[in-house]
Amino acid sequence: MKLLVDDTRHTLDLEATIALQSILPRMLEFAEGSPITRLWVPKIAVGFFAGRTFRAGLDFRRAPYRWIGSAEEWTGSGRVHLHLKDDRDLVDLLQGDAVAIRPGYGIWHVAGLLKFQTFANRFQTFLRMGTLGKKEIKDCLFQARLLLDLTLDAAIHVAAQDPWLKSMGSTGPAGWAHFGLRGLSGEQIDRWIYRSVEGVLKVCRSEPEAGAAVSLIFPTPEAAISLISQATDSSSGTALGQVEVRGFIPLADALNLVFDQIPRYTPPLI
Amino acid sequence: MSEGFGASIPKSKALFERARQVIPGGIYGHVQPSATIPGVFPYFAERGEGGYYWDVDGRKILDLMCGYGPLILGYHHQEIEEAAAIQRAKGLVFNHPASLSVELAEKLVDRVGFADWTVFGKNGSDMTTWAIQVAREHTKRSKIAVVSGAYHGVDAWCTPGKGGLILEDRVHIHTFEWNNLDSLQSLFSDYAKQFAAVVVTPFHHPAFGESELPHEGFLDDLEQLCHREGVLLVLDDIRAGFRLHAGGSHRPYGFEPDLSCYCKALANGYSISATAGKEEFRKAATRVFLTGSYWNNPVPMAASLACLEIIARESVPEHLEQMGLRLQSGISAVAKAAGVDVRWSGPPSMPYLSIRDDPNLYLIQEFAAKSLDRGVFFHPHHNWFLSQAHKEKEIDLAIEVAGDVFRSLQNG
Repeated sequence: MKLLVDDTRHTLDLEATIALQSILPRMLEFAEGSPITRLWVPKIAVGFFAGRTFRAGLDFRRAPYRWIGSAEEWTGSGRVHLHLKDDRDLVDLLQGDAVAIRPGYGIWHVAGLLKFQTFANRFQTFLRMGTLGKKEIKDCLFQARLLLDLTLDAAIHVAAQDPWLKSMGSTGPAGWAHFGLRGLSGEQIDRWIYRSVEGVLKVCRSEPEAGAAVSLIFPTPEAAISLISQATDSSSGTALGQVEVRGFIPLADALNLVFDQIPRYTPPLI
Repeated sequence: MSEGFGASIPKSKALFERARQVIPGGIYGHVQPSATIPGVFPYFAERGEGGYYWDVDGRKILDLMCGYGPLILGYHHQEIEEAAAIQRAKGLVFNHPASLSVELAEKLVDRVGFADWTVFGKNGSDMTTWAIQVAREHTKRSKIAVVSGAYHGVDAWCTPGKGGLILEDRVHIHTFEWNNLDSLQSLFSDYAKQFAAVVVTPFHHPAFGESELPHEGFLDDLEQLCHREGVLLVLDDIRAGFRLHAGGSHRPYGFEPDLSCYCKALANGYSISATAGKEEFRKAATRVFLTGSYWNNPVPMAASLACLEIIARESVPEHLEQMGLRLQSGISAVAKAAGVDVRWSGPPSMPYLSIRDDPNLYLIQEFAAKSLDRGVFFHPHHNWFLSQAHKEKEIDLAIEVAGDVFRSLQNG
């Protein structure tokens, strides 16, 4: 019996899904996240192609910025096409690696393209908790929020497609888990993720009527970043109060099992 | 961290900081802090006496978990310690088993009634895993049936964790529903003549959920079904063994397993486990390799001989039941007076407390946290364990604290 986790094609598919559907949308949030980042936004739309196939696009031409997932919606002026050899190169690019890009349609928007490149680099740096030079924005809560959103979003795809998780059987506890990110001034950002008995996940940004079966509160942004990026293991983080867990712990464990698999498909986040 | 987190356990926290540098996760397994209430329950213990223990922060805690089961007579029981000390003075590990191993095997065979032989290990998993190998050796079949949600140890075929597992680890492990013989019969039909063993606990005690006693006739019918199908019935009596009955848990429930695994209460905290089996499986048992560096250590055997003796001589299971009933009725009364609706499940000597309309355990966790602050260890999501060291005084203290806490919960 062969385990599918050795199937590199399958792994690449999931990497690409996460890169396009979880990491790219975070770039929009990064753009809209603070007055400084808004200044960095290029006024173009960038489309990512694997070969000749449109895979996804980011539209920064006017607010609200948009993530575009279908070729039918990929219209209008101010578009730049970035052609990558294949999904592998596309994933590597979106994970911050240097790959060969063949600019296509819209190449004459050179200034916008260069601005996008700078913007994308800043996003990658921010996501990895680096500083941003003279224009450094120091906002741990914002960074924690981006990481949490990326993680929850990626978890949906990993839960659905990771071959090892599927081989282990997905049946488990169902319910909503509440994640709370506390800022240093007392503000709190909340997210909810639902797990079905079959292990299907969905994310929500407003409190579900059913209430949360388990609550995970990060008392500081630094703690959240450390745990979400898996720099600190969840067992230690819980014992040290970096995350306060209350409620139906098996649900948190079931989600954690999914979160644990995410780094297989994403770049190291710190 | 949030202000005040772990304020009552500074030494535990400091020790944990050191632990996580050199131990993955700091503390692992069922005693990891996240299994109780982190920041409130102790992380490290210092010493114990009778029904109490002291954590590294010097707090005296009434222990209703008994080390998660082994301490059936309480901490530092004099007669047990003396028996162990006598053997310890003679030697710890030899090139051969000590004569005590024969004495203990004879004692267990005699005590459990259904069995003709016994072997020894160190932990529960040693025995459950060995038992299914014996079943496979005897039947030359592959499949094992277990109850959904049951815990049988940490080996790949049964661990509740998933890390490190591969698909093949569980290919031959199938689940059926507790108290539902049809669900097992259905498995037997789907995989005719492929099952080697059915592994069950005497009552169902899933983690984070209420315990379930066997329905009338369930275990007896299960025994009959297994015999008809040529499948070994393996009793995992690791957790409950000798707590419900001095002769093992099959006795009060009126059935006979083919193999039965024991551990926790066998030696009052000394590390030993055992499997007892019927004559017809002796040959298979001799063919399944069984050993370990310390499995012939006679000190736990000395402790076990003394422990089994005391359990029968002093009617310990009956005492545990009495104290359990006192605890249940007392806590139910103070809860009701405070307007809290509680329910009990499982046998009185291993009670599981839950609060009605608290499906996600928030209230029981708050109850457990506040009780620990007042010096009583009520586990929020695991069955509790009573010991012989718990007398009326300890039980009444637990009830008093529970009453205080329930009142405080109702007062917000």
